Amino acid sequence: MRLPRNISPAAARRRALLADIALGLLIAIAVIVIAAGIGVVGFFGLLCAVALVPWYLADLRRDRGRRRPRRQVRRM
Amino acid sequence: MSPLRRTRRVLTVACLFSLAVAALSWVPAVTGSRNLSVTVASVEWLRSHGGNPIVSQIENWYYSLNEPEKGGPPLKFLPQVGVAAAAGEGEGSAEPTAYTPPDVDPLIHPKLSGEGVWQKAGAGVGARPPVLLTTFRSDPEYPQFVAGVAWIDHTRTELEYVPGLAEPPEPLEERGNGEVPSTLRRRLVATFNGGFPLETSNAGLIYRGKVKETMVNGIATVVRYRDGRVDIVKWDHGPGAPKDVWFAKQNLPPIIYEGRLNPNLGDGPEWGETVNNATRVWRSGLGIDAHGNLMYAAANYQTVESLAKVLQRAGAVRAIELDINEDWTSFISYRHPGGLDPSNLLPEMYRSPERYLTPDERDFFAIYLKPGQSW
Repeated sequence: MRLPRNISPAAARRRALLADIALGLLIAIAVIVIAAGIGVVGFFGLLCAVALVPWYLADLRRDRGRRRPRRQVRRM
Repeated sequence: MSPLRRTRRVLTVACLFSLAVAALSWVPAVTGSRNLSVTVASVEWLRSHGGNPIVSQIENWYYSLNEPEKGGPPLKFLPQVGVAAAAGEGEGSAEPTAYTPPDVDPLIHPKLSGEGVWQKAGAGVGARPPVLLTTFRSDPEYPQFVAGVAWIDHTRTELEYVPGLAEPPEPLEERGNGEVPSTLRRRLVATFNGGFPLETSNAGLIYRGKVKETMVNGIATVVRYRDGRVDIVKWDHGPGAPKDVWFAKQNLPPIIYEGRLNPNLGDGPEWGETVNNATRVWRSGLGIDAHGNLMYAAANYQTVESLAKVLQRAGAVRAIELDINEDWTSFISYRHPGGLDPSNLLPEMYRSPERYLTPDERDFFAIYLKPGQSW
């Protein structure tokens, strides 16, 4: 079975999301298998989460800044 | 979506899935530990699930950053230990053959009031107290550090190894519930911490005559024989259990052997997969004097070497290092029969004096009066 080539942008986004989730799960499973123990997985998972949160927050702030309508400053 | 954001999404999925799987192990470990804070229980969980090198490295960094400075203002008094003798108690009634240890010659002069002087640990114990306690300043370069030492009369007491709820992790037929059994509390005079967890000490354990973890030659071992005798030896009986051994708990090489300090105290990889032997932390050790009496010592800001010197100063001729860090170091004496009025050896000891009267994660030692001995 071949995947259709011409798809809508929304379908392309869903397809990308599915691929990313699958890749993320594969990476996680590989890490769990390779790691010295589940404690190590949790420790580095937590560090990774701590690093990702500011990244998301920074993007959120940037997106809000773009959406917020600019006030017109009246020149005196 | 940009490739960078897609990478982040992949990482987020991987991270969340890993954390969810780890949580399946972490949550029961933390909620199941009865007398540990979430932080300590989490560290223990990490240590026992492959993260021991990570924990040890972080501990080493932490203790290096918080290393104490030498010198400082001298102490004016020492913490009170033991109980003051009741008027007339024991006066003139000591058995002429009973041995009592000489007071410890202080390392720093002039000596402070009561420094190195043995005090009875229990009230109303008569002329032959089973446990004596003292404190003295442990290091002339650090005159503010105080070591607590206990001496235990082997003619009046017996030593027992008590498994904790989680340590040793090996299955035991008679694990108990990690506390001093209520039936034995009438004879209880003291309790103190065990050694490193078996996983980090790479050492052996014999419990009730059976090998629970393979014994290792050359490792310092607290041994109790079936006839009640206690000793600290450098193990040379191979991996099995000799017939006359009731329990044997190993931990690292001896720190004192035949009256001399281990020459490798200052360096070497043999001190376990834990904080560096030269790092100053809470440390504890168990020695034996030339008369066969056990001596326990503990203090904050000790290296393996300084701890060994404390025990040697107190009179130990052979000694083993026990557990380290403030979370695990405990010596508790009971001032009255029945486990009543428990008291930590040093006021800075972090764990509750009730520690071993409630279920504890780690294994420990209990000192009981011998059957027939009265309080």
